[in-house]
Amino acid sequence: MAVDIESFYRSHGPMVLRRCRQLLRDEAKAVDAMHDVFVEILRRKDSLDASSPAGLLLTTATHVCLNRLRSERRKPEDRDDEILFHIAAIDSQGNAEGRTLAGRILDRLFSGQPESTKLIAVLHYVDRLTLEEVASEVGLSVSGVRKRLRTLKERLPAVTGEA
Amino acid sequence: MAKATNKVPDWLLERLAAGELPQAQAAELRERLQAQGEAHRLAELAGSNAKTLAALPPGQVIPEIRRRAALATDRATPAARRLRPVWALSAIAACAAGLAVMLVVHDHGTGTRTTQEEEQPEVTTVKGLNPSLRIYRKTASGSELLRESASVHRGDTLQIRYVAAGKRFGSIASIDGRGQITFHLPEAPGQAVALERDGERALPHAYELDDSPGFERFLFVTSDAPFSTAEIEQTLKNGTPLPPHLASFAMPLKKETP
Repeated sequence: MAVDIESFYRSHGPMVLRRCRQLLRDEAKAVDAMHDVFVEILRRKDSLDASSPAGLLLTTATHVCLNRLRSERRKPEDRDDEILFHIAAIDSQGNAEGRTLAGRILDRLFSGQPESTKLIAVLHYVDRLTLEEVASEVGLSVSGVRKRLRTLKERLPAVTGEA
Repeated sequence: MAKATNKVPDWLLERLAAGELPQAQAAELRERLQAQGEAHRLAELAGSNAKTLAALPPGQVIPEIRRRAALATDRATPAARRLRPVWALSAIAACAAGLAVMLVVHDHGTGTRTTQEEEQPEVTTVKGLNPSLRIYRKTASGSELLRESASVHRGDTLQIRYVAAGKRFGSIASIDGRGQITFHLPEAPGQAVALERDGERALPHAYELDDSPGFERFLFVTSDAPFSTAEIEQTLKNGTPLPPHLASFAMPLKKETP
């Protein structure tokens, strides 16, 4: 897909920045992450699916921010923040997606493979999408989403509540 | 409390504003926004967009994005790399290529086992319950599954898929007739990655073969514990036996000169 990065930024840059602000809670870090989201888009322009650019950018922004949160040393500001930190840290705990770089997760995303369980967890636990809404967003069945969350819940502390 | 839990999530609000949601879902969300007195949130996005673009205009942001992209490309393309990632086969096409394949590790030229391979502690010989590789070549009509020692040529595009068979960590690398090693999983030396433990999984990139002569030998090393790709590198280069906790599956291909 040919990417006119400037028009892409004009149409979606502010949305990406809002997403990064929401997850990182720091303006400077959010702006920096926003740049990297578009870098990922440029790097993978040949495999982009242009059918839902906003969804793609929001997903990419989520992964970029999760990767940054892994190395954050600040104290979580609230429960959502705490959950995000736990989800972000899962990579280093040897789970099914463990020890992979954010880039590899993005490679999966851009190659049309099943969506990251971490994104599913963020959508449900942090963004408060219902299981049905998450299923619709990531193209899985509700039971598929529930199953992914069940496997993840074992690695998350009680902060996730119901699931 | 009910109102709070029914609040339209920002994620969906953004998707709604972008016009990417199915019609029915979009209508339902607009109704929710109206019912909760939050229809203003959609309008506020437009204001936020204008404010951001004024503070961070494209003329300032785009050059920085391009600079970072160029740096990232440089880092991801070491000079030694000679298998170019090009595309990924669809899972359907790859699966359609067939299920049965028996791969015995031989020297691709003579059909006999090499000393190097005999020294390896655990070489998988039969596909099924053990970790294995499946390599597909792109064809005009789809793809074909390559057998051990199949002939390949410069310009052939290969998709590598693995079956972890329950193993937790793995790495895939190959060496060519010039002794050049390429890492495919991960794509640079480092720690072995966590594998998708069930089913047949495609690597995110396919690879275009270069003009190196003789052969291209792929090695899939797995373990239930983390390990370093350095251990594979030594085995590929020098025939050093792998440590006992590592299992390997080799897939040699014959490189025909055009």
